[in-house]
Amino acid sequence: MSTDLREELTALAETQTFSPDPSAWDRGRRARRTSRVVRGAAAIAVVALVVGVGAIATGPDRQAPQPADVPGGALPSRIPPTEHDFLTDLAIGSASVAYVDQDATPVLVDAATGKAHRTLLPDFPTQQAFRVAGKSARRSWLALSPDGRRLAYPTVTVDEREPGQKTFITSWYRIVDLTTGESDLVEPPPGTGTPLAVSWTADGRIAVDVYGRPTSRTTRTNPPPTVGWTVDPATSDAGTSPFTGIVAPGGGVSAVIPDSADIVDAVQFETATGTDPVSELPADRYPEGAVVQPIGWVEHDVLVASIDPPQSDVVEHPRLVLIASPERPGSDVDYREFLPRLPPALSMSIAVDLVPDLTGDPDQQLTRDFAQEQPMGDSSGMVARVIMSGLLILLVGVAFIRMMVKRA
Amino acid sequence: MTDRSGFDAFVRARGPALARTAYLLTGDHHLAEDLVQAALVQAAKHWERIETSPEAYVRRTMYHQNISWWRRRKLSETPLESYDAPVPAADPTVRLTLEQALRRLTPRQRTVLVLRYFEDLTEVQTAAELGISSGAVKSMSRDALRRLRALAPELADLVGADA
Repeated sequence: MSTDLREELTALAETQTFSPDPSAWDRGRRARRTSRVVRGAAAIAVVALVVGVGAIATGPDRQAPQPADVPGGALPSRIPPTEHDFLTDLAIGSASVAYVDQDATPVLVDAATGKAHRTLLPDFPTQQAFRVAGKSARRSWLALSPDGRRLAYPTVTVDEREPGQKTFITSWYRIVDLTTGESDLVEPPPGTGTPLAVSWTADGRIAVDVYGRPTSRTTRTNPPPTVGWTVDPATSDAGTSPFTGIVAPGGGVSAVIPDSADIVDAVQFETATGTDPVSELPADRYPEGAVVQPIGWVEHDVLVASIDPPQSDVVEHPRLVLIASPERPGSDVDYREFLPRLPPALSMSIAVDLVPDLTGDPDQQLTRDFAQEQPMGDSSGMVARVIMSGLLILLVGVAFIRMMVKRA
Repeated sequence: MTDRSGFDAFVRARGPALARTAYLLTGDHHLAEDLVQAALVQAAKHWERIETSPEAYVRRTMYHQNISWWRRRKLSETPLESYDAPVPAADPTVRLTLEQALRRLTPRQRTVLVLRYFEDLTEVQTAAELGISSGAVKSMSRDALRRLRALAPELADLVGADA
């Protein structure tokens, strides 16, 4: 059957002629130039970046991340469906992932068990607030600290002062300590409103992107400039930051949070030297680009980001990836996907310290398969590993014998 | 090959083969031309960064692009109620019947058939090209052959009784 079908398909295909279009190359290169304007600026900026790179390289190291297989937590290899009950006692120790599901409910993934819990957080932004925020950047509101022990979020509410004129109000930020279950209120930076995004710096401050003072008449398409602040969660002391977005340890570079959930083909950065370099997404994986949300830095030159390609028959879910920053001084990774099949989320954050030290090995295990481990105790897990090892040795042995027989 | 001459040489050498595959994917000569050109423009855009072979890149782009195009235009396509109706046996030749029946498969089914029976890829290779599981390839291939038999019973000998 297949031979006949193949012959008929071949004959059918032969009816198609091909006339090369000499403009294909020019059109492709023009498209490249158009979409790579920022890249040109980045190339010019490389020399200037050397200074920033040096500063980063000599900057203080952040806390060493935990390997994926040590007690205390790990990122799950897959985020499971949420448990039935809501989590009310927030003293879970630490979380590996914190996200806001499509119903605007915060979900925490326990770093020790890998289980996902819908959570009742005090003063968490309402569903209406997320709905009003729409697809703008103004919804990266749930931030998990690098060690996974603290959460930060703004207490956003929506007020309708005049019919149809909805306004955000953020009176406080909440900091939740997951080791005690207690939470504190922190004052917003002076003169600022509802943040566009919240994150943590490597030294334990909250970083917020807010709208600054407008320099021209503001409209929906011409918003005020975004400015960055950091806040000490213990004292509410606030100071402006030279960067917006997610700032790398050492402070030399920052990953910019996009204004909206638009499809792009590169991740945008800011540097201390004022340049705006980019790291391009792999074109062969994402020929149509993807929605990119920076999440945190696992090293001073490696960013974690959520990549959400356009939905198609062959691309199903957003995924977490590691991306080298543009200067990439001897980075251990260029681009790597490590947590596929993320659930649909309005906001996503992970404990970046739970990503193990990168060795440069593309097969390095960065997550833990809790689903495999949980049904078994330690001893049965060991037995399973011994059985698997035995099977592997058996298969290698059989393959070796077959190879020798063939040679003979 | 990082310059135009390399690209031109590639297009000259592999263009006809790519066009033949594009025709089977789209079932339309004009759309096939457009599909090849769109994939070649993409390849030219990313020429220096194509790590795999250019042909593999262009082919993969065509597979995905074709499905993407179909999604955009499917609302104006043939109404579903007549979807599984047998192809009118106006033309008695097997080839024309096969051509008409192929057009009435979904792009995913057609793509799997083309990769399996025209490109001679295995189920595993087809799955890798499309980024789906081998099981999905197997079931799509089975469904596609079954639909071909339903659409054109006279093709039963060609596509097998129960493959």
